[in-house]
Amino acid sequence: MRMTTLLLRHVIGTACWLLLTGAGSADRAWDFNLPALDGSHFVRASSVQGPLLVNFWGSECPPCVEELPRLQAFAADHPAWTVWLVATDPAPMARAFVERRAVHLPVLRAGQNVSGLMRAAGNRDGGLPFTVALRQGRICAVREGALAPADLASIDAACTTAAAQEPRR
Amino acid sequence: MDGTTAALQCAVAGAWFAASVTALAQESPSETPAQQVTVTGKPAATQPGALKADVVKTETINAREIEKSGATNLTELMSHRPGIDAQLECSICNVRNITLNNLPGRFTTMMLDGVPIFSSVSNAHGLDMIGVNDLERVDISRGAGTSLIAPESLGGTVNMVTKRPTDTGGEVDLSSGTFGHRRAAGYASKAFTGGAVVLGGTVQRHDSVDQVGGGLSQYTGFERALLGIGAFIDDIGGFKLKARFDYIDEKRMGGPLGRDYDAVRASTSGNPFDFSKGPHAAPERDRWVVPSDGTLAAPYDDGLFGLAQIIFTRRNQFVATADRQVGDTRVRLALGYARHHQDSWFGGDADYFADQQQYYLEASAQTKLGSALLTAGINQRYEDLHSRSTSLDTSSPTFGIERIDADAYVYRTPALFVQAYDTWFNERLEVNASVRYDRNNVFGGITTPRLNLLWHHADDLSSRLAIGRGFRLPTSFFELEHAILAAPAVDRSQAKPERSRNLSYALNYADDRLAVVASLNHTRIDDFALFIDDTANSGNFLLQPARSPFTVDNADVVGTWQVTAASALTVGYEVYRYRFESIDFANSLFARPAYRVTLGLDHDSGPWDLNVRATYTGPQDLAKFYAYADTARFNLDGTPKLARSPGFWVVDLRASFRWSPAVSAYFGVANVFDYRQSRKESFLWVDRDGNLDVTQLWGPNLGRSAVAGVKLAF
Repeated sequence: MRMTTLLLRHVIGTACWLLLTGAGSADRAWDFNLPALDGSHFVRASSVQGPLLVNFWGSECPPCVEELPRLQAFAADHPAWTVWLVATDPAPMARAFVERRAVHLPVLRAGQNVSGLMRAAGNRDGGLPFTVALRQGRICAVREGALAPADLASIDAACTTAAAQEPRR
Repeated sequence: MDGTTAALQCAVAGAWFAASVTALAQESPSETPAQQVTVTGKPAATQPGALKADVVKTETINAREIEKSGATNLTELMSHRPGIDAQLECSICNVRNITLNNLPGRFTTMMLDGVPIFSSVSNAHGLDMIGVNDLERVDISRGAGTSLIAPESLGGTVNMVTKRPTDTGGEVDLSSGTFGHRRAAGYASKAFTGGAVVLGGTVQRHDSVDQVGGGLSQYTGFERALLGIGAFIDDIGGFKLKARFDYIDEKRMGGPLGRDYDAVRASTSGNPFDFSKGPHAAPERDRWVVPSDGTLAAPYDDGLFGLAQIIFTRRNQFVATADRQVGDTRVRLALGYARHHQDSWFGGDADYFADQQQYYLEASAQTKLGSALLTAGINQRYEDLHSRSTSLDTSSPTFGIERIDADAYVYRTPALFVQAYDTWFNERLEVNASVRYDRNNVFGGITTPRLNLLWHHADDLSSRLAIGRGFRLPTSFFELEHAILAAPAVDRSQAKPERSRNLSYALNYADDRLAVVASLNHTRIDDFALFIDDTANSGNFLLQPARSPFTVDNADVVGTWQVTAASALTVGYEVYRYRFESIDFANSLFARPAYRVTLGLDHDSGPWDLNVRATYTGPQDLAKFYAYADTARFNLDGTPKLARSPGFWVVDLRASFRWSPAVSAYFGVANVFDYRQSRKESFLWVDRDGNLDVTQLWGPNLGRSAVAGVKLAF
């Protein structure tokens, strides 16, 4: 009886904890460890030195497809930036797509929790395309929806500003 | 830990929660208003915003999973998945239904692009004819609670979502395999500014298979042709239009082997079979034991046709949906039409020709009211079945008489539905509540409320609770009970809608490398529709509700771990408890297991893609499901049938290699260890009086099979 009561209390306590706990996503630190599209290795966002632009896309999302050339151009024009594409399509489909479209940017697989990953960066609806800019492992810009050239410029500016505001070590 | 500790935990958690909510309310850096966004159907059933949908999916099978499964049709795709399976209901004709939570397959509502355009007629053989080439994904909602505004959904919903191409191109898939498997499938798409069109087709054949040696098939042979045409227009009068037409033509025959349907029809005497083959077989080639007295039955003398089931099906189907955004309001129109024609010859039972029409019309609007998203709509479902039949049962008073509409019904079911979605606690809690009111011309009004709650404990942990009711309008379709055509009439005066009460809870954890879902489900079916053979009294078959409820409780847990960058391991376990009075459901159920274990290994690296699937099906209580207490079942040697089936593994392998973006090849082996029910126990059984039946079903009906193919993309 005593054990049952203790067990019940533990379950209730745990349930309260589960119901009421929240993630510390306000911390705006954001990281992931995702497989490369070819399955050769994992990559971690926090391992990147300098600014990192992460674009979530899918081949069945017309605005995603439309903005891929802009992202390639941005990467070419801004060598300080690392630009990664996270494919929400299954790997072989994504691979076939990037080959067909001559996409040269590094592409990652989505992992097991792409919606949670996007949510942690502020994308509550799971909408695509979705772009996150990071500097030193912290989010400096977020865009949900198709990127215009001006958006990329403002992301660059926002993250450059963020970098300038970082305390000198 | 005492009560104080538990209270303290709650208080601390509450304080943490309050702090999180306050922090989350702050502006994110550099966020701008959303622009053009595509919300795609991705695998996570508990993803943010998941409850906004009209149907809350509990599982999704995406295009990649469809491809790597090697499935050529819907029933193959849905087999051996945790909480989901294809249920074989006839060894001779291969009727297969899709079961959710191991409830009877006919309780699953099938939809195409959200349009319910399938019926008991089309589900009987038609699910084998649904190709999967053109599908973007299949969304599954286990339980009525998650089905929200979907109609009926007694046990849940399966929604097939067609693929909207963004590229111009195509694919040809050619394969060949054992048991005469031949398949050619093509898919072409043309994308243009503002839309796309697709064309897909499949021709496929498979031999009937007898691995016992008695000349009687365990797997039905078929010849099948599918054609689908789809159009996607992004702006037509402000509407986004999705329309699709499908044509299906299939011939299948089980029992005798081969494809010479006319010869089988003509063979009505003598014995071409050998009943002395297989475990506990008959002592003689032509005769089996009559269990009640141990004598031998009269020699079988009905020819090939006596145990044949020949079914020709043609189906035309059109589905269209149109969506338009007007300010904050989304207007949706949906249309479905199907014409299903089945010519069937069931040796010894009846010649049966069914002609069915269905249509579905829906108009709904979704708008914002404050922070809530409200959906309201109306729909009209129409389903009629007309038939022409001739009983071939020599003991029937209707023997040899052609009858019109011995099996027939017309259902008109207008409905209203409303659904409200809102979020609280900074979108951590999503709530979706809906209610439908359907008014059927035969059964009257039916109200089905449903409620879903989704709580995001964190970005990687969420809980979903669903509660709701579902219903199904019972039909008198011949496939559910062949013998009804032997009776002068089917008395439907006591029939009631079948109703379900469902409660389910799921806990979902996912990070970059690990995803785990654990769920608990409870479903109780009241007024389970049964055919009662009352020919001895009233002379009729009675369509009436069961006297007692049928309840299934189940728990399952499925985890996928990304072991390496290229390999993922999936492990699943599900356990079931079935509660029902066996005697009340005699001859109406098919055996389901007490538990199942599923294992999967996917390796996808460079050009290679390897998949292994293993499923262990636990024992099945055959005595209970098949109501031995009402009708004892015996082998053809007079010994009792198994009361409990053995557990067994089924292992499937598949490998594909991509030579170039344009060419890939694949090879698959299904049921690698060649486990067959027929090695342990025959599908055939006899009752005490020696009457033969073919529905002792619990294990695989096809042994090891292999297929190899090539895919060409352009």
